[in-house]
Amino acid sequence: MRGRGERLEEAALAAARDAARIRTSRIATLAIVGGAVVVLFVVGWLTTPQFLQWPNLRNVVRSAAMIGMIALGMTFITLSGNFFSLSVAQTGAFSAIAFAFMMSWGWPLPLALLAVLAGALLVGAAQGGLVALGGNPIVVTLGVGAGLFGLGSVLTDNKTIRHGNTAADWMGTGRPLGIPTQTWAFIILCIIAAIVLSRTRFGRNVLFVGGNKFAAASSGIRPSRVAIQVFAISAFAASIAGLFLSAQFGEGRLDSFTGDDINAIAAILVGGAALQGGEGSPLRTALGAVFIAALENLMVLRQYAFGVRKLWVGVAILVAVSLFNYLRSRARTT
Amino acid sequence: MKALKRATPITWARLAVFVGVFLAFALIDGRFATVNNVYTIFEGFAWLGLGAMAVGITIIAGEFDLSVGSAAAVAGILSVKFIGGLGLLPTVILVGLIGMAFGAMQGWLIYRLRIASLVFTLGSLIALRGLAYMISNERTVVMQDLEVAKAVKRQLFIFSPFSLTTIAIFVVIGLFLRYHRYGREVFAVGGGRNEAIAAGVPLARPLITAFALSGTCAALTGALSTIKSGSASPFGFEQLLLPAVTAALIGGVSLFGGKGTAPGIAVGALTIRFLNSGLSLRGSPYYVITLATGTLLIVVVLLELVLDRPELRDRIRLRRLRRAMARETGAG
Amino acid sequence: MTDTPTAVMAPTLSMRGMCKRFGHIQALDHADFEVRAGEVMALVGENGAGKSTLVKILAGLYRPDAGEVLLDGEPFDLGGVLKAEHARIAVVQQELSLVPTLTIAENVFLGSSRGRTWRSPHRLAAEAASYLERVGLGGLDPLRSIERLSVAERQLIEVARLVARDARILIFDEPTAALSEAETDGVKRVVRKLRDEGGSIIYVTHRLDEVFDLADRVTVFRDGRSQPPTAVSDLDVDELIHRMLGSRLEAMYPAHGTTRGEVVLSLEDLRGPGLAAPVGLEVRRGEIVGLAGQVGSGASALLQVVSGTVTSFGGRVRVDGKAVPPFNISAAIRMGIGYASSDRKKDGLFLGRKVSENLTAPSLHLVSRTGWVMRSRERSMGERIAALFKIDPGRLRSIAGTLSGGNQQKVAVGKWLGPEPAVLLVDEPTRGVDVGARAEIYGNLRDLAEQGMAVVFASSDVQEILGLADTIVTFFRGEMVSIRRRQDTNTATIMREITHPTHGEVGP
Repeated sequence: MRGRGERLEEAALAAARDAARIRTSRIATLAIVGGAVVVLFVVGWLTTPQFLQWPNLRNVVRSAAMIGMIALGMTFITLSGNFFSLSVAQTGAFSAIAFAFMMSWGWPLPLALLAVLAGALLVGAAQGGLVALGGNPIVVTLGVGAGLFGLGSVLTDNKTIRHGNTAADWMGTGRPLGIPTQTWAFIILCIIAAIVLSRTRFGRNVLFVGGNKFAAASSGIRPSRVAIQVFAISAFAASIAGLFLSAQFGEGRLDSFTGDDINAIAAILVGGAALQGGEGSPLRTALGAVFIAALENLMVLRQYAFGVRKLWVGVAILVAVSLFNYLRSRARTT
Repeated sequence: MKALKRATPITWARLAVFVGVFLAFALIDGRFATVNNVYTIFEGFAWLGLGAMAVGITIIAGEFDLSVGSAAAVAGILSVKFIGGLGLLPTVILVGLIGMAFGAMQGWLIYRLRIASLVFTLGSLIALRGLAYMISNERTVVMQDLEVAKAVKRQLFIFSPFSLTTIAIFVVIGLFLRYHRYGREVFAVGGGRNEAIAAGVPLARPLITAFALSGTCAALTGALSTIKSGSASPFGFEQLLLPAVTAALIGGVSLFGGKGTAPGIAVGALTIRFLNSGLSLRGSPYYVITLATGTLLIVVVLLELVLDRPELRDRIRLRRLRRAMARETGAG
Repeated sequence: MTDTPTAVMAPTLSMRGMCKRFGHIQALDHADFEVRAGEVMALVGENGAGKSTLVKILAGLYRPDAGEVLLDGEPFDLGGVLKAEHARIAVVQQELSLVPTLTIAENVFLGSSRGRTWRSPHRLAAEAASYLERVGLGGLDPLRSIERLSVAERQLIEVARLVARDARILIFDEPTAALSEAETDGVKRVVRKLRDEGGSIIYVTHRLDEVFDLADRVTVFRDGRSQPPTAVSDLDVDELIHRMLGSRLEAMYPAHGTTRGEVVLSLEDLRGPGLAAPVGLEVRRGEIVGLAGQVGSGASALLQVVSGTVTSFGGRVRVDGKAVPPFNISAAIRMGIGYASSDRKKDGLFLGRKVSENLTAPSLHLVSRTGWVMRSRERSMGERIAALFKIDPGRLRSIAGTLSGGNQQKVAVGKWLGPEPAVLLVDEPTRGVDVGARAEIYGNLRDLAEQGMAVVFASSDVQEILGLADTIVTFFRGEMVSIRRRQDTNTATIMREITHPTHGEVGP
C-alpha cells in the first residue's frame, strides 16, 4: 500500500522536476517541427517536380487531414499524461460502419451523424473510466480496440457495407473554395483544439493534470474526470474521421484505418509532445501530421518501396523523440 | 508445493480460469480433449508463449515493448534467407542471437537516452516493420526445403520439437529470473525503480537484460513459426501484441511492474490457446476470437484493478463514512 | 549502561573543517565530526543546521567544498557512492530503498554483488535468516513479501541489508520519526546490539529522549557549525536544548495579532492516517495557529486530513459550523479551506507552467465564465496576489520552475488568496526558503490573519512557531500534547513537548 503510493509520488516528483525547466524547449520545439516541415517541402520541390503541384498537394493535405484529425483528439490524451490510445483506428472504422448501416437503413443524415458521434463519446468515456480507475491506457485501449474490431466484424459478417445513399456525398467529396471538406474539418478542429486548450477551464485542467497530477488534485481538479473527458474527445475525433471516410466512399470497411493509429501517434511524437504530459500543442501535432503525410507522399512519388517508407517513418519518430528528449533534458540541467 | 501454499486468491482464480476453460470446452466438444487437438493447442502455445514472454518480461521490468510483432516478422524473413545455407539449428540460433543483440541495444538506448520505452519501441515497431518489407522485397518469402518444416512440427504425443523448444526456453528463462541475481534485478527495477537504484542496482543491467531476453523470444517465435509454416510474410505477426499482452496479464504479470512468473505466463498463453482452439472447433471465424481476446483483456484489467488495489477498498470505506455523515446532518 | 572504553579509542572516522555551500546558503561551515568503534554518536540540531548535508557527504552523495576525512587515521576521499561503500559506510535511509514487490530475503541481498550469483529463493532465505536474526527480525519468514510489513520492520530489513554488506559505520537518519513507541524500542535494541558488536553508529535524531537513552556521545550542529562532542552523561535536557537553539535573531517575525474573531474552523474528534488519537481544535478568525511537531508527529497529518488530501477515519471538520465532507479537496476548497503542502514541487506547483496560471489554479471557477477562462480576470487576480505577496509582477508570465525557492513558495501559498478561503492551512511555510523571503512570507501570513482569515500552519522549527503563532499546539507521535497561548509557553517547553514529553502531559 505504501510502496505503490510512494512510487507514484516519486514518479510525480521526477515529472515535476522534468517540467521545471522546459521553458526553452517550448519555442525551440515549435521552430524545429515547423522547420522540418519547411525543409521537407523545399526538398520535395527541388527533387520532385510533381510534389508541389496542386492535385498532389491536395492528396497530401487530405491524408494529413485524416491522420491529423485523429492525432488532434489523441493529443488531449497525451497532454493529460495518459500516453496514447491504441483504439482510435478501430473507433474510426467502427464509426464508418455504423454510419454506413444507418444510411442504408435510410436514417436522416443529421440523426445518423449524431448517433455515431454520441456512441463514440460513450465508448471513449468508458475507456477513460477504466483508465481513471487505474488501468494502463495502452492495455485498456488495446483491449477495447480488439473488442470493437471483433464486434464490427461480427456485425458486418466481415464484409464491406455499401449504403448507396447520396445524402452524405457532399460531406465526403465536396470542395468548398477548392479545398476538400476533410481539410476544412481538420483546420477547424485544429483551431478549436488550440482555443479549447488555451482559453477554457477544461483545457487548463488537462494541462494541469498532465503537468502535475498531484498539484492538480490539490487545486481541486479531478484527474479521473479529466481522464474520462480526454478519452471521450479522442474517440470523438476518430469518429469524425470515420464519418468523413464513410461519406467519401459511400461505404464502411473495418480495415479502413489500419495503421492510422500508429501514424497519429507518430504525428504527436514528431510534434514534440512530452509523453509524461503537460507539454505539447495542437498546432505542433497538426504540423506533425502534415510532416508524416508529406513524407509518405514524397517517398511514394520518389517510388520508394513500402518497406523503405515505413522504415523512414520509424526513423523519423526515433530521431524526433531522441532530439526532443535531449532538448528537454538539456533545458533541465541549465 | 510450497509455492502453492503461498498462492493468493488471485493466483487460484487464474488457475481456476485455466482449468475451467479447458474443462468447459472438453465437455462441450468431444474433439477438444483429444491428443491431436492438444497437440494443436501446444503448437499455438509454442509461438504465443514466446510472444507473451517477450512482452511480459519487459512489463515485469516496468517497461513496455511494443515492437515484438515487428521483430518477429523480421526474424521470420531472416530465417527463410538463412536456412538454405545454414541448416535448421544454426539458423534458429543465429536469428535468436540477432534478436538478443537487437534487444540489448534497444535496452541500452532506452537506458542511455532515458526515453520511455513505450515511445522508443513504437519507433522501432514501425522501423522494423519497414525493414521486414525491405528485406523481403514486399513479398511473402518461401522456404525451398519443406522437409525442415516437418522436422519442426513433427508430432511427439502432444508435443513437437517447436513446442518443446518453447517449453525449454520457458524453463531456462524461468530459472534465470528466479535463481539468478540479474534476474531478480529485473523484478526489482520493475517493482520499485527508485528503491532499487537506492539499493545500489545499476539500472542499465536489468534494462538491457530484460530487453535482450525480450528480443530473443520475439526473434525465436518469428524464426520457429516461419520454419514450421515454410514461409514468412512481411506483414506477419501484426496481431501478436494483443494475445501476447493478454496472456501475460492472465498469467499474473502486473502492469505496475515487478510481478510475474514464467509458469504464470505459460498458463496465460495456454488459457488463450484453449479459448482459441475451442472457438475454432465450434467454427468461429478469427474475428470472434479477436473479440473474445479483447474482452478477456478488459476483464483481466478490471479484475486486477478491483482485486489488487487497497485504495479501492479505502474508497468504499470512505463512501460509508460520507453516507453516515449525510444521515447525521440530515437528521440534525 | 554499557561500559565501553570509548575514551581511550581513536576515532574510526573523523571529519575536520567540512564546508559545503549551496548558492548563498552555507550549509556546513568548518564543521568537525567523529565517531569511534563501538559507540553511538548522536547528531542533533535544528532543521537546516547541516546534519543532513553531513550525512549526504558521508554517503558519497555530496562532495564537500573543503575539509578532510580521516578513516582509521588515514586521509580518505569520500567522493562517490562506491567509495563510501568500499569504506563500509552505510546510511539507513529515511526514504526507504526496499522494493515492495520483492521478498524480504531478496531485499536483503538486493544491489549487492556478494554471495553466489545463482541462488534459489530458499537458499537466499536461509542466508538472509542469520542477518534478520541479528537485527531482531528472526521471527519473520524471509520468503514473505515486504508489502505488509510495518515501517519499523522495513527499516530493520534495511539495516539487515547493510549488515549483510559488512558495513561498520552505520548512519541512522531519524529512524524513529514515523514509528510508534514499541517499534522504536525494537530499533534501539538493534542499534545497541550493533554498537556492542563493535560497529560505529551515527544516530541523527530530533528526539532528545533518544539521545539520552541510546547515545554515548553527542555532537550538536547549529547553523552549519559543530560543537565539540560531549559525553551524554555530562549533559541534561535543558543544557542540550540550549546548545541546539543558542540565542537567535527574532527580528524577522511580524508583530503578533490582536484581533480574535469568532470560531471559524472546528475539528471534532478528527481521526485519520498519522493521527494516533482523535484531535479536537477550534480556530478563530484573525488567529494564527502553529502546530509544532517533528516529522511523523501528526502536525502535518492533521493538515492533510482537514484539507481533504487524505481520507479521515472519523470525526468532523466544520467551517462556519458547516460539516466539510472528508477526502474531497474540491468540496473543501468550495467551503473555504485552502491548503499549501510542505512539498511545493510535489503537489503545490505546476513547475512547467506560467506563474499567472499557477496563481489562479485553485480559483479557475472564479476567473472563468461558462467554461471560458477570462484573461482579464485572470490577469487582475494574478496581479492582486502578486502585489499582496510581493511577487515581482514582471515575472507573472515566467515559468514557475524558473523562480527561486522563496518566490516559488510565495506562489504556492499565494495562490490560495484567489478563492478567498476562510481558513488557510500551510505545512512548513518556509521549507527551502532563504532568510529574506522567510520574513516576507511571515509578514504575508500575518497580513492575511489581520484581514480576518484564520491561518493554521505546521512547523518543526520552534523559533518559527513562537515567532509567528498566536496559539501553539504541540504534537508528539501522532498525539496532540497541549494547546497554549503563545504568552503561556516558551522555547524550552515547546521543545520538550515535541521531543520528549513527560508522560503525565500526554493523554492516554
